[in-house]
Amino acid sequence: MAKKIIANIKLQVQAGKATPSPPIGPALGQHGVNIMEFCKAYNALTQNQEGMIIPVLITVYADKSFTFVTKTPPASVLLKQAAKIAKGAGDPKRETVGSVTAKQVREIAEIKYKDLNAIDIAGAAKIVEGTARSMGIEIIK
Amino acid sequence: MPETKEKWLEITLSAPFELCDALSNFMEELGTQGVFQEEPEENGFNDTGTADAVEEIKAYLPLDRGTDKKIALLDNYIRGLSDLFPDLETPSFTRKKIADPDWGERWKKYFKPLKIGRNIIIKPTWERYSPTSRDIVIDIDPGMAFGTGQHPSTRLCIIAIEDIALKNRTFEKWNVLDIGTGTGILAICAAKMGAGRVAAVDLDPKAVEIAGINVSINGVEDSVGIINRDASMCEGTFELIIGNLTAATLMKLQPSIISMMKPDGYLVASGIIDRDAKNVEKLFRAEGVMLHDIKSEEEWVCYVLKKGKVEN
Repeated sequence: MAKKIIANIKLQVQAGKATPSPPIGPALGQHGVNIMEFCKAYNALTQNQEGMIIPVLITVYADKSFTFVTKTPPASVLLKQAAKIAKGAGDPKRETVGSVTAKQVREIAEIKYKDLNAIDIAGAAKIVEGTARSMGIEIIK
Repeated sequence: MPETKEKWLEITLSAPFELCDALSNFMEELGTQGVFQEEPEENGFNDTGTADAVEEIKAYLPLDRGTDKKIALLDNYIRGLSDLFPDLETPSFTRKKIADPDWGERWKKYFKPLKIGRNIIIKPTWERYSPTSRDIVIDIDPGMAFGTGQHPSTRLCIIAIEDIALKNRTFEKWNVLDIGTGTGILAICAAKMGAGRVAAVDLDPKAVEIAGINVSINGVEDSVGIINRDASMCEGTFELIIGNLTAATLMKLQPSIISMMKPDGYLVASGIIDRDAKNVEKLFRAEGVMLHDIKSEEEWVCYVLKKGKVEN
């Protein structure tokens, strides 16, 4: 019989640097998951990608065991890399902090396509474009 | 070192899914160390959601003098998003102060005595257990340190240490080094199996404090010393070195570890996921260290390596 699932959690933290502090502590602690055990497993799996944010989907079962899968880095992080900026804009309506080319947006869309709920690459690119605008990153056509 | 009460501000954001990535990024840049979202039902995660769906994101800021300013920045950012995307629902957020959280405590009620290997019993300090004459009971209060025996990498180490201790008659004269001791579980295990002297190191001062408490609870203060130190700064040579770390850390420490192994000495290297196992093995074996045993459970691999002649 399949184990009963009690929670599905999507967590975004720094690769290789999981600690019991928030957000991991509250995200997992509330369901009775052994937090240090998760940190060990996550850090072992993502240690080669340090500096990146690696989202992870965690399934928690009724017996407090868990499984998880890692996802591709968020589009926001990939956009900052492409634009060579450390931070997005504090006011995206009035502030432009960097730019990416339409080609770069498409490349990010290709990476993100399998994780995004998009119909096709063009649909994924539209979502990535929206994220870029939300961060004050201009798209050069 | 007394534990200071932590204070946090829990921020729950509601936003259309199109804005979630950028908002999560903004929270990260404010200093939240990450965010999470939750789907409590059976139906699984809808990953990035569907159009028109409003999602909830949780993030935590340490509550200090800078918190109000960060909230003002968040307000400002949300106003900017709202101006930029007038067709989308404007994100909103609620705040809740959290003092002295017990996030690290709740799982403890599911931590029960566990038998590992032939005779080792790992028992949480708050549980009762009636041992048989052969049982070697190790009491652990994990606090927020790693090592409860619930993780395969720790279990594999305990089995390896037990194998080595049972097969080597001189074990009681051995010097043992435990790198990244966490709760102290493996150091205590080696001491309770009869090792003469165990040095345990950890980079995290909190782990050192917790390991010290566990050493006292188990009455092995005379044979186990816990030190807050980087393994590469350790001195001396050892008949047994235990490293339940990660592949990357083991590889980084390889020169120090090999120089601290006595001829004929053992290394128990664990915390390695199968994807990285061959790289770790190759790096250590290149330096004349031989493969003695490999143990594995799920995707976790534990190597027992030996400096000197291979035993069969």
